[in-house]
Amino acid sequence: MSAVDALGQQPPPLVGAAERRRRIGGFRALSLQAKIGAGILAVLFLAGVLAPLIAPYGQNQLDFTSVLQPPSLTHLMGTDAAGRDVFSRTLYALRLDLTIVVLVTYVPLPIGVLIGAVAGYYGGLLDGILARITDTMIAFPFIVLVIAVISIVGPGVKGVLIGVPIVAWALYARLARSEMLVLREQPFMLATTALGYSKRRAILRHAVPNLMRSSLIYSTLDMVVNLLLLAGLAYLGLGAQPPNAELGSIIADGQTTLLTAWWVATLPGLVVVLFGVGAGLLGDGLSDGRLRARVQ
Amino acid sequence: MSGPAPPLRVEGLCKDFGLRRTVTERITRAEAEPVRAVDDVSFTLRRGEILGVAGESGSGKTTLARCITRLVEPDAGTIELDGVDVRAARGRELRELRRRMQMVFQDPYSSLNPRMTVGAALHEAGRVHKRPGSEDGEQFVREALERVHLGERIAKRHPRELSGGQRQRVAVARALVVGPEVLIADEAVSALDVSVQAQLLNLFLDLRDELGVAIVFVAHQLAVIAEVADRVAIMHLGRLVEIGETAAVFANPQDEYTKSLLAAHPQPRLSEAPPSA
Amino acid sequence: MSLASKPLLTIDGLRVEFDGPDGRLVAVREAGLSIQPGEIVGLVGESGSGKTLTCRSVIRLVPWPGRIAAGRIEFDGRDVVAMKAKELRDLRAHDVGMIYQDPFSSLNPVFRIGDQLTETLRVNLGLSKAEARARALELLSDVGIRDPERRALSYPHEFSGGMRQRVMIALATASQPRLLLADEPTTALDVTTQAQILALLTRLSTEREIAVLLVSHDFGVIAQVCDRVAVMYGGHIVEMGPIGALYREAQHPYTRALLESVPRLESAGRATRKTAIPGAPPDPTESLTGCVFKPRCRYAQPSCDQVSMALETVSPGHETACPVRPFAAADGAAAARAGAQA
Repeated sequence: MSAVDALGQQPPPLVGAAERRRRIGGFRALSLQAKIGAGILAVLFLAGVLAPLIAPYGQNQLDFTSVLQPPSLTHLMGTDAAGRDVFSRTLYALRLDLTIVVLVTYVPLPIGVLIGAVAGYYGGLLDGILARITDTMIAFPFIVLVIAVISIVGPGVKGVLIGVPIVAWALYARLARSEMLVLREQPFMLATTALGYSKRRAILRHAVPNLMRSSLIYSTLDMVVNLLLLAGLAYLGLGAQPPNAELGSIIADGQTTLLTAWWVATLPGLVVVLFGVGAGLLGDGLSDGRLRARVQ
Repeated sequence: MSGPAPPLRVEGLCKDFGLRRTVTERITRAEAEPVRAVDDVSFTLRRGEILGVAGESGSGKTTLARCITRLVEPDAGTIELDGVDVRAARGRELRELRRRMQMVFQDPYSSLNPRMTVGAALHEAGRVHKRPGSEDGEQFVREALERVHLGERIAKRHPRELSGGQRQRVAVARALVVGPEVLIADEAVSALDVSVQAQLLNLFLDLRDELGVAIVFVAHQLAVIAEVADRVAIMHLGRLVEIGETAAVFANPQDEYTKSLLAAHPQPRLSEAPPSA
Repeated sequence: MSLASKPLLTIDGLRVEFDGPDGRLVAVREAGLSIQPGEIVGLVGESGSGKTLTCRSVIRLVPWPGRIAAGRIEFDGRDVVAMKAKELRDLRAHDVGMIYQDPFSSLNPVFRIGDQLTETLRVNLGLSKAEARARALELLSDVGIRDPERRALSYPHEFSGGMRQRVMIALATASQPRLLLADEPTTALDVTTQAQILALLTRLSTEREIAVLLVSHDFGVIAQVCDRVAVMYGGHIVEMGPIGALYREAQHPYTRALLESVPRLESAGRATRKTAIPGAPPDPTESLTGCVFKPRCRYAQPSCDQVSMALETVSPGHETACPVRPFAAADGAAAARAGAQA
């Protein structure tokens, strides 16, 4: 994915995530909990995608006549210290943040699953090497690496887009590897050898579809972590630079006026919370589905 | 001995497993005694026969079954499929040999890929080995299912939508699809209910009679062996202790272990055997 | 077998349901049986017949989301279904013991065998530490574990399956229960070990007057040990009676078909094939009218659609849910012939 090129004011549209979610399984098969979670996420993603269309104001539309206005019908989330509409800023921020979150979560996922699957299937020396590399990456302090990358490439989303994937694949690799160690002893995997299938077919066609599930469930949690990482970095001033709207920076800006104009920091903050709730419900709901199948 | 080679011949097969050592043993570097899972086993599978392999858990019968197809690599011995050396084969040659001796596993709940439909699994097996007729997916799958007396609607289903008996039939169908000469059934009916078991046993008998497939039938229940096997080999602690016509071995066991196995078989507290309706 | 008129356990009209996302699952539609003190009763059926849940219902061990939806369960005159928590715990601790199928996961792997035994003795019987230790060793040797002092210090993983099962039996019988529920106790064991465990159960039952409800799918096991047998299919008990009667003159087509399907050593070398029961057992989510076995029955009649699955008496102690009785005439003729030749 040409993520680095797409940087700038207009990040690419968010088609990938919705498609991936749909591939998890038929929507009707999901539990109520998962559906609610998926619904919340869908609303947020949609809001981000349609931001240019539905935002009533520009993300940097200054209006010093209506500074720090409380939420009203003209400004759904009020205005900030520069008269910008918080709601519109939040929408654009969602657009930027969610794009980055999706890229940073779902690009490493297939890479990690593949590495873990290969390591687990072959075992021996190959597994030993890959496992040690994986463990090293996991042990790495995430944020330190990201900040180090930022110090090289400069502040802005580039740092996160480069830094996080370097490490993120390792968690999926570890998950996939341990599942593969169990999976490869399953009779249907032995059958692929007995049937004379190549190892490549056994891993890609038979093992990986079974390994994806837990990685996808884990990715819902990962998305939240990544979003919080982004917000945290922006809060520190290391994330997306002004005038780009970014959830963390909006919240950081609103911090100074927290007591007088609570809405500037709190309402976008609630949007972050809402994302976490949605992802959590979806992840929980998906893993419960697996439990249900076993009770039968 | 003149005439065509037997479909399967095993000679002097051995497989050891290293014992897992406790931490103390590892520290003191105590000698770990390996477990002889398969100890110098030899037998010949005759054309068109069902050879039962009976034994309790730990007898090595499952390891033996897996050694034959090299799912587990034997340590010593010869395996010949229709005269061809199985142990020496590599790569494509090995894959082709494996095609000719298929396995059916015990657990119907995990011997099929849960994420593939029955039809996809059957078709894939046909395509990978370029079986005749595999170009026309639907027809190919339909015929494969017919051979195990399953309707074509099963093709669209996933394993979780099928009963244990149906899953085992699909597993047998998948094994048959690649055109094997030898079938190795490793406790293939042990996880099934009695009434479903009977259906599957009849299926194996059909395969022997109609398709001429020779079958190695591994089971721990002697009664099941009695229902289906022409000859039986008894395994105990990795060794093959007795082999012969099933009726003869059960009526007149020669080996001490065979005798104790038969003696332990549950006897109803009645004088008469159950009637046949 | 004592012929006390008052049964130790009575189950009547038991119904166990699960409410799941696929609708209501009725695992046990209607089950009833009784057990006299000291009697060994078998409950045989295939998967989905409801036998395990029937057994567990006796001490209300039905896993959520299942529940006992209807029925009466009386143990020694006490109503089990209505029991409060404390009473139920009392019942489980002192009156009814249970052993399970999987010896590999039914003992806590992190505690020694001896400790698991002494725990139950101290908690349920109030014995002191010393008394419990002594009693535990007694129990272990009672179930045939040699060298109990050393064995009591072992962990479960150091035991074989058969020995673990013996320990389970010791645990379950430690508090001198009047009834032992055995849920497929030998299914995971080798045939030689199985024979030993069954012999142990029979011996304990006779020596200590413990009644046993033995659940199994293996007719051979049932036939070796049980006095009376109940056959379950599709959540109903379809036939019940003394083991000899069931073997010689089973009246329900399913019982006969099941007996026919059972693999037998004597079949070795014979060319005959078993006639397998066509089709598959009913789906627990279906609601069925009439006889539960009708779709697969060779002798089905149109009147079978109105069958209520209630048990009718064939002869004293022998009941069947099949009103058609296709075998009665043939059996009668065969018996008459046998009598004439004698």
